[in-house]
Amino acid sequence: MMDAHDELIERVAALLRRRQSPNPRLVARVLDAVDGRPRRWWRSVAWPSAPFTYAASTLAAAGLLIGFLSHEASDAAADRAAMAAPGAQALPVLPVARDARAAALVPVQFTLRDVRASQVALVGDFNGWSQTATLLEPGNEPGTWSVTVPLASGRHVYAFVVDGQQWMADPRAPKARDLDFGRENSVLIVQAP
Amino acid sequence: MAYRSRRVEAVARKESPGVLWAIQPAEPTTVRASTDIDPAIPLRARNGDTEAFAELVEFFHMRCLRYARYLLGDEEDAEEAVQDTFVRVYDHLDQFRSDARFEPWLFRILANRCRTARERRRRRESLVITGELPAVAADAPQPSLDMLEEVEAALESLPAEQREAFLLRHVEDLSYEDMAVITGVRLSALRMRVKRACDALRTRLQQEM
Repeated sequence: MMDAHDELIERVAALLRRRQSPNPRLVARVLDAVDGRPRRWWRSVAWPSAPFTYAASTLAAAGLLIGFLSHEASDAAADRAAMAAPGAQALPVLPVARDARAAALVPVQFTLRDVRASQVALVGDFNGWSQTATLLEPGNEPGTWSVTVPLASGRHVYAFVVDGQQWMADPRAPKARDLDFGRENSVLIVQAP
Repeated sequence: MAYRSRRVEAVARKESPGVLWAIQPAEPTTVRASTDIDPAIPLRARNGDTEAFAELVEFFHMRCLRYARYLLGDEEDAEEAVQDTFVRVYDHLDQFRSDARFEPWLFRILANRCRTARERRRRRESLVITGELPAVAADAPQPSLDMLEEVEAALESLPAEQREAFLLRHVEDLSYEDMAVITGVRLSALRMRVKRACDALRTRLQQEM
């Protein structure tokens, strides 16, 4: 719905918009503030934007340590269950062997069980939260979905998007609440051996 | 169109270890044709490009400051909220999705910071023991307000939620869809808030303007 044209309101808005002037002191303060902060190293990784396919022969358990950290203290089991979509049950995130061609990356398998889903996408900080970059493949068992993604060591935040609409944290993983967007994501820590 | 800073240019100062940023003033400009930024810049900042982050700050800080100032009614609180906002943006850029628009994402964070600042001030003020107000003589000359001050006073008289909705819609020129993302409020409620704000402003300012 468009707002009705209102000359007085437009004049009011135009007057209010006048109060805009550069504040180099504030800019400098902001840049100083972030300059002193430790870099979040995973931000500087060039994330792939296309799905990865790995030959089955390269996938073998290698004793990688994958841990989970909760960004917020909200990872109680009841909370996880509440986040799960009806009929959806997540499977564990499985570490698989690292690919020799990509020494810095660790293949990680993401799995979800959702009998109602017709498409499941993996979104996360590693693929720019793209809903089209990393789609899960249906498994042999009905309602199972999985994809393997090479990830750099460190903390990753991710979620599933079911049928292009339903944003869903991994019910089995700790949650990281995005305070500014009110959504819950999942957190995963990958450590190379 | 990619925004290129002409007014203030933040540059890496490599010759001074420990000092990453320096601000170089350039020719002043006050008007921008575009209210949004080249979408590549937030993505570059997310990938660790500190100059791109400086561009974001430089591009958006005036609008952020204006919004916070009108919402909080205090310059110092506004600057603090804007600084908090950009630091928070910096810390969470890895969560910014490549298919999202940066402007509503930024304003959502800013709106939350402003709400926090308002709440903090409300608690602080509630602790102040108010004394007797100084008596004002009935015939004392009232300070004359220019038109902008009249408008600002009228804006300040609005309930905070209406003021927020009016600013986002009419001053920041955001769509109702973006406003819903920023405030977490339904479109119909936002439209009602904007309408009520406009009605109140119209009633109060009809004579003056």
